Amino acid sequence: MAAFSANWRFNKADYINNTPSRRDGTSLTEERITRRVGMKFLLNVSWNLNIPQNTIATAATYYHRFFMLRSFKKHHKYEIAGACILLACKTEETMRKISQVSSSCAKFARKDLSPYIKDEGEIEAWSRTIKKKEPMIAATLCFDLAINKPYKVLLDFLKTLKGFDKNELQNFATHAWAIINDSYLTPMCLFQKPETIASAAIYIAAQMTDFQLNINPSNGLLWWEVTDCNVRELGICVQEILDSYRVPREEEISPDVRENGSTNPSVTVNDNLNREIVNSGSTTPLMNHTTHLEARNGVHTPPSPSSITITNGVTPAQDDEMEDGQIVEDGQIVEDETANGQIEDEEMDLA
Amino acid sequence: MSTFQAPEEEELQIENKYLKEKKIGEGTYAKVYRGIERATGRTVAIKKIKLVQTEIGSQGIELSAVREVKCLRELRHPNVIELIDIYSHKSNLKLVLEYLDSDLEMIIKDKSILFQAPDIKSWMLMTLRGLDHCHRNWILHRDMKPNNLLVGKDGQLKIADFGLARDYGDPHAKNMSPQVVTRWYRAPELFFMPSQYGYAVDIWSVGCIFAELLLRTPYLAGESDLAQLELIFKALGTPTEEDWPGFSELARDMKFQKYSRTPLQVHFKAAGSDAIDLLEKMLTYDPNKRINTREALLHSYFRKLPRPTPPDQLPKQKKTQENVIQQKELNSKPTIQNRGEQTEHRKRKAQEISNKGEKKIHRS
Repeated sequence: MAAFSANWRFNKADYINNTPSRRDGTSLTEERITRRVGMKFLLNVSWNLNIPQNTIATAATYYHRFFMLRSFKKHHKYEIAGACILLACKTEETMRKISQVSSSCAKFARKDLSPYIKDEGEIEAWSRTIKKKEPMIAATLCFDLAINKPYKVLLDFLKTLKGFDKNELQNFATHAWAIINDSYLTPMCLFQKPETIASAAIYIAAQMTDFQLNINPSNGLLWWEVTDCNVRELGICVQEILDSYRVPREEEISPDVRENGSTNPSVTVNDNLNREIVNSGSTTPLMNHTTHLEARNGVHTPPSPSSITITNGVTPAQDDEMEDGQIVEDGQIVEDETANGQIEDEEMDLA
Repeated sequence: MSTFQAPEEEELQIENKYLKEKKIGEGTYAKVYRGIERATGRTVAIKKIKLVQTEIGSQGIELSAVREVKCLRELRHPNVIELIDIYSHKSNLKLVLEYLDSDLEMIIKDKSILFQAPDIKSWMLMTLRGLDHCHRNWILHRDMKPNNLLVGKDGQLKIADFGLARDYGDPHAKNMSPQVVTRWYRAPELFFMPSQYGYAVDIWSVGCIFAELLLRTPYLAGESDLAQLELIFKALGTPTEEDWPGFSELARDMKFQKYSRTPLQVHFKAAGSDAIDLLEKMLTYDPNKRINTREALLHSYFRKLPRPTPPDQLPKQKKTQENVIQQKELNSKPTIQNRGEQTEHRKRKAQEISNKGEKKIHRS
């Protein structure tokens, strides 16, 4: 029963050296960019269909897992992203019709969002492809369709917080939620436990919003004990998340990316924020703040997923270059990524 | 990890692991075959899920198949059907499940079998244990009925058919479809079209099954949804605001005849006082007050004498016994003559499964 014994926590060294895409001759940078572009597509389609964040996270996890087991050169990132959305909608009981998913996919792959273009043939082709890919993805994922996500850990943690100012708590929760959302742009869910990702998001959000977590044992449980995570892993995970927001230095950008363009407006948009995050938390996480919390009254309402995104607002049109929105044949995928990858895709520089 | 193998090779390997023998049934979205695991000779049921690519209006993998796979992958319990293997082959999805040749409905209908009180206790115990396992894994079954409680040769009862099951307890558990559970076993709150409900709906169904075991006939067999509600009120009395807080709010547009409650003891003369008490707690109107699986398992009914019958001593269908012998012959030498001699029972089972498919309402 080999198919039943799959372990879904991957080794980071495997991701760097030994993914199917790597064996097909894709470099780490290329894979990172491709992964990210596919994820952006997945997010755009999901937002267009008004899919809840919980379902998006499931789809993203399927997507990342799938490309740990199959190569980007054999399967197109957009097709897989579309099929992952459909499958996740089923498993999370937030049904969307296949026609909705495929028309939305066609729209974003075409990169023309005007509602007047209606190409039935194109939508038909998409829905045929998605139907074909869906069972294949399910089989590749060993039918492990139930996914644990960090959101639940975060919400459970928020329930334990009592006596905070409502706005402060809301602000903190929104930041943590958004950081978890952003973590799905990188394959972090493959290496870290959901508890760890949630805790890292809590830590970073607390730093950003000056939210006082309990770090004094005399006031009951320490906050990372509440979320039940290993502090060592937490430190690594915090660093990883911060790295994913970092703007890469010139020498870290691989030459093939550098050629394509070095200026992009979204750099400036996000630059300050990135700096801030990096500066606030990169040195010795978990040890800076010793002030303990003061009891205040407040009720928490969970953040609404739609209102929050920290990632820069790159429009889908900029995302990558795919011809005519057609489903590209196998094998000619990663040729022409633009400079976007450069700013967004240096989440793991572990050379 | 075997996952780095080429997918086709892997599928072929699994395909060869099982020998498909005979079609035993067909439902709305799947065909069920009986098969044999080559290595061990164990009889298995192979559920082949149709994935018709060209069909208009097809939504990819059936939602019920996704639900079944998702839930069964998480559950492992002696009283829940085991998902042995799963693979996709030639764009078909195939679930390999435990093979059980009988179900509680067939046993209840077989009038040649006499039920003793300890037998009923044993079946109830196994049902509740299985259901408790589901609920503790945050899974709602939503289609509990005797037909879905399979009984094996060793007498073990197993909950099957998770085509309607879903996760419960995630923060977004809203918009749940009230169109679940076969009508006779449907809890009263479901008739008022709620968008949220809980584990209590399964308990109500188990209560109905309990009553059916005691009576040997379906307890509340309504013709239509409204008639079903009427029937429930007739049997258990129209609920008052006291029985079910919020009932008058739910039923504000509907007028119900006022029935007074008759004690259950009147209908269930043969049942002991503990059994009646448990049944009463399972068939409580207010879903919040209805007993849960944990409490039910700790109920005095299960602790007092007589002890539940051990599963292997439970009454069985005689035809099933013949089946066993024939299967053994079949396993040793699958000749054409033997295959021709299919018993009536199996045909009946096939008929039943196809009927079941028709009966079920398709739900989104």
